[in-house]
Amino acid sequence: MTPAARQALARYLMALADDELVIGYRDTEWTGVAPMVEEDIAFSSMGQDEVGHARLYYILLHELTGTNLDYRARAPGEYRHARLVELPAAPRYSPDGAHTGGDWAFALARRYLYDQFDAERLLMLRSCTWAPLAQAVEKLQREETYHLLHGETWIDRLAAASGDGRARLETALTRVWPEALGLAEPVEDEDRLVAEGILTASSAQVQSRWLARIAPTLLRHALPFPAACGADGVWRATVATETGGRRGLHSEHWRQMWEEMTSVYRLDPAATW
Amino acid sequence: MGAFVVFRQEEPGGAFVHCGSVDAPDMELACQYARDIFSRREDAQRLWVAPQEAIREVADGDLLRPALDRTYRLGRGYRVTVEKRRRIKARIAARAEAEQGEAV
Amino acid sequence: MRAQATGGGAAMTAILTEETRTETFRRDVADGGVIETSDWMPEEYRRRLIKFIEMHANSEIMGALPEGDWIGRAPSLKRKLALSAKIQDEVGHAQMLYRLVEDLGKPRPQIFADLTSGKSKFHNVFHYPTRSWADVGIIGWLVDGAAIISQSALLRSSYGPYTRVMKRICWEEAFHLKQGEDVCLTLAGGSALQREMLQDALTRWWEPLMMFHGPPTPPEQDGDLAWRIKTKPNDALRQEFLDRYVPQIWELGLTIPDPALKKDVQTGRWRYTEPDWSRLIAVVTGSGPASAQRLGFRRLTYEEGAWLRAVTMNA
Repeated sequence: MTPAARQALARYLMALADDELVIGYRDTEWTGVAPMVEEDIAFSSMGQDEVGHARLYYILLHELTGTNLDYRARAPGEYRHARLVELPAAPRYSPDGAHTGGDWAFALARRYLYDQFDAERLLMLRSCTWAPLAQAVEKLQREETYHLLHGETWIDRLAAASGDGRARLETALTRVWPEALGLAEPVEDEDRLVAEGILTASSAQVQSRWLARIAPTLLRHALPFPAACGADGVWRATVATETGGRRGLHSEHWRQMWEEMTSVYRLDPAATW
Repeated sequence: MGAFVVFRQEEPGGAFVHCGSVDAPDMELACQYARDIFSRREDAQRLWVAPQEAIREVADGDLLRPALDRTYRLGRGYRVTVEKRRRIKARIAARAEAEQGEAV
Repeated sequence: MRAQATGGGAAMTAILTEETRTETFRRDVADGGVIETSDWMPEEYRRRLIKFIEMHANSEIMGALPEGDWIGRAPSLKRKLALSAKIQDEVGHAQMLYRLVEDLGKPRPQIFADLTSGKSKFHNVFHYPTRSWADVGIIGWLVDGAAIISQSALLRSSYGPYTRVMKRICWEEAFHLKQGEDVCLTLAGGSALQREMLQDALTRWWEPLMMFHGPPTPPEQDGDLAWRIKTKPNDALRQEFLDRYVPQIWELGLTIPDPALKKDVQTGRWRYTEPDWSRLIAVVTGSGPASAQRLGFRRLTYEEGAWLRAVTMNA
């Protein structure tokens, strides 16, 4: 692997790791406050899985670059996750009583689109020529199978629900699409990874496969699906995409989450916690 | 006829453990057969009988024993506590000794 | 349910009045008998069981809130995973316990209505705010430590389904204890800032911990003991707690904020400053430092989820 390709792959891995870290953080925020006790436990498991995956990707990143990337010791602009995952959804407690209630339909819609995208991304990464990543993906896919089942079951159920359930899902999907499409924003120099054969598909190709993958479900239920298949067989979005995440350009929500995520650590960064 | 699955409780308050199943035309006879087959020596406290089709097995290893590290959930994820205690005690003792030294 | 007289001399002798039935039941549980859900039980027993298990369940789910504030702030990925998993376990305990209460005849919407309106209670320790990362350690180590002591005593409760659930809960609590203990040990062995943080947390949590097992109640006045729903008096549980944890706390160089705390070598019992029990009553009836906010938050999240529960209800 050329040094430039290695650098590009490191950026790609960091984006992967940060995606998993941040969605894992957002979804574990539901622990103890989800709408139903049984679902609370299931949702927390998925959030924990993602944090576990981030941990694995950071280890791989270390292996690739030889330097340890401490997830806590970066400035907010140095994270490469898509904006989708940083959006808040869970209820928030406020010591002065000014709590916010959270939006589980939004959390679910995001999970669904993210998991389905991630499934296509992982499928592609199985043929990554950097073997440690291709090997790790096999384990990750096994855990993700259950995320996919969970998401599909709920999408079917909410889509078929009368009244509020379906309406909330539609609102959430409409709201989440622009950022969800941002998952396919390429990292800098991704072209090189594809040209050198390290990645077997570009993010644009993964995006097309992802849209093709979820089209049957969303179209069958007549749910918001702002994408169309061209004459060339490629699926493309029909709404504007929120990008920037892969270049470190994030929303204010991210800054707040980062502040919180690093608050204890920053009290004494030299200490063992 | 249908199959009915039987669970047995051996001790008062104990868990109900699967012990087998019976074929019966209905629930009433299934309960009687369950008694005759699984407790004819009066060796069960109670039996639970359920239609077999009501039971779904979950056995997928990926679901029950996920691939990645989960030791943070287990006691063995914290084997270092003994060593941590020892270090803390040593530090407290060293501090006390230093203070005593100053006093002298 | 009162036995109906059906007439006929032979039948009469077989029929028990509710009073004698209750008396037989009482003797049975006192002798170590174990009750299952489908058994006949006196209304008082059922009422006490529901109240006791419901409070336990409520405590598990309300206990998710003070610690939940720190899921997003946990200072490493391992700590974050361990804390999320621990709180998830508490929610899991609530789930198992709520199922017991439902099987005893109280539907879940009613349980949550009573919890969010403040009608039913939850444990005193969950009425307090969490102010620093060290609180997570103290809760995991000492609050869960205190809970394990009461919960282990419940393994011999007279209600079979409860004892079976308690087996699983106690098994999981042992990991929570390890998680909290490790946070405390790391802080105690860490920088000056970390040690101060730990001492501050212990100082704040000591009073709620001393109140945890409840006021000393003469066993003959404790109905839950009489029905063997629980098996040890409050004060015995507190003594066990002190016996197990005070030496460990001292060993870490921490100061317990009670100058009177001392083990009486003669009796083997711990002496301590008697907590202000009227304060405990005030705390658990909704006047604790964070009671209103926690309940308000629980109410809000519960109401926000109504739409999803409606979806599943129609399924």
